[in-house]
Amino acid sequence: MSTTDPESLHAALVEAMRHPGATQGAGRGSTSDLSVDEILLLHSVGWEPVDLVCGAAVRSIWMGVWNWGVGEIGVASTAHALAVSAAVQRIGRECAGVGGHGVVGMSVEISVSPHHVDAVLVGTAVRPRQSGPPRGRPFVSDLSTRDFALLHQAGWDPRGLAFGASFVHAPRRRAMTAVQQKSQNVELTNFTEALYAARESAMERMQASALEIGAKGVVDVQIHEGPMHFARHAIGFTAWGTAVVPGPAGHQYLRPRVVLPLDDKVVQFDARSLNG
Amino acid sequence: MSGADAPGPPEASLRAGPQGEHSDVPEEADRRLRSPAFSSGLSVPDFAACLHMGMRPVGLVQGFCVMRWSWYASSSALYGTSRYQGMGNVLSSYACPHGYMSSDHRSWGQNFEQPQMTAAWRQGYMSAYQRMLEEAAEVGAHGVVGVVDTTSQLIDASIQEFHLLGTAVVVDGAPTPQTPWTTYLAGQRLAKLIEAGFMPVNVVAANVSVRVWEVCVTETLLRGTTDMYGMVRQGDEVVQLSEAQMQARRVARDHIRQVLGHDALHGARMQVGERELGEGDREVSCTLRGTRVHQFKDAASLAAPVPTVRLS
Repeated sequence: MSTTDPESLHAALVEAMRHPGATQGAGRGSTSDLSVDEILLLHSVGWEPVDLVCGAAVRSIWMGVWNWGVGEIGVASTAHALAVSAAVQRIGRECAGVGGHGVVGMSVEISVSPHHVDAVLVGTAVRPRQSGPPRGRPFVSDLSTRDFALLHQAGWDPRGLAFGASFVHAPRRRAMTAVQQKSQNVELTNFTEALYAARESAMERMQASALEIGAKGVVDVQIHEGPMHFARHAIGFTAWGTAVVPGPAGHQYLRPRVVLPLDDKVVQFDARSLNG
Repeated sequence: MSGADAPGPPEASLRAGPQGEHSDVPEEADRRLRSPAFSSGLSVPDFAACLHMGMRPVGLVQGFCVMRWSWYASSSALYGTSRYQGMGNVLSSYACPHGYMSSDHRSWGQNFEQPQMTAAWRQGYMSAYQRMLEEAAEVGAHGVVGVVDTTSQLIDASIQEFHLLGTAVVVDGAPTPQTPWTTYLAGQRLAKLIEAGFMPVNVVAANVSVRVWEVCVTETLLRGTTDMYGMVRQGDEVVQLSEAQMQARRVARDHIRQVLGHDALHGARMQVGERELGEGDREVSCTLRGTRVHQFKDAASLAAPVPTVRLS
């Protein structure tokens, strides 16, 4: 529930309705995909949304690279890295273009198909409320506003998106081995090894990309791994997260307050259910 | 304030509707809306929060519109030899690097906006929206909260149903606006918005359709093949498709920005779809919707949030 008493909230509402255009012109047109809570949270740490920004890149992959081979599928790994890198650069450019200092709450959509990798990033450009034009390259982050505010309070700053990917062939077993193992409970070492190989390469690349932009670490790492839906003997491992650096004052201890909620769980009703 | 104390049926005077004005609201709907019992799509917490603000629900209002349009009006059969006359704003053009003309070679490519699709979508959405507003005006509403809009296929892909619904509300003591304001928000999210100094103006939505007529390079890259001249290198970026993905989102955002003026768009939701319409012919569509708000007062600086650890 709102923190304001009902009378003053009602008075504010009536006042806004009496003078619908009273302060129009004082504000600045902006777009954002943030919720009200997220905008208030941003305001509370001295930031504000500027505009909705996006970056996209599609990179091609050779025909046939997924089917047969051993070791890493270098073409696919490179295409993935280049597609994400280009999308990051483009959303960063859009952010700088609208006067943002960085992007938060960014959705990361990466799809890999047999012949191309698509990377699409959409988020809200933000800036400190009392600030001039951005200095340096804007940061790009998939942290939620809540995490961004918390990170900010802890004395750390986002630096950019760190990412890494690797695609590795899981070598097919020999026919005789496959027949022998059909009635056994055995580890499929070819897949285990492929997963390990893909993981090491992807994680190493993600950390290398963080170091490249001068970060000290990566938080909120998202991992996606498994066989490709169009090539079952190819294992993909992708990892990305927000690269962070300590702010000028260094790490700040948050000292959270312990709370014991007394409220019962409320069953939420979704208005969409009215559509059947 | 009587809102929290008198959450019951609204006063008769607020139900009278626009005096003497012609309304297109169906007779049955009109009768239902004038019944002494109100209906609402609000959850109980949202209902309680609305009453807290002095807002009383007066009726669940809805608008429908079913549209039929031809997705394939601009045939790609003309591609490669001549330009389709009905195409809209050309967003970018691409030339073949091979330097020869042939009817079976895609010697040029273009990404262009399809304004006829945008206009048809807008017509469907706005008709449903206006019909919802008519019902809201019928019950003397000041605003419509918790708007939910859906677009779905009806019978087949060329027939689209637009459906908007929301809860019409009356704010005690406030003047009746010429047009009710509307918002996707309700309950405490709306209370927080007003508390922060923002008043909803209306819900806004835009749909953009970008048609991609592939140049030979795009076609080759998306097939995972190469050309006989070695001019298309596998692993290259598919520039035309990358740009189409960006253009659909940017144009949708720009369409929304055109109506915003100095106001802001809150809680934007973006839906993007890509589909292949034929060989070398695809469409990237983007729908962007959210609540247009204007700032009516400067929000007092909020205190920095206190981190908590929950014991449960």
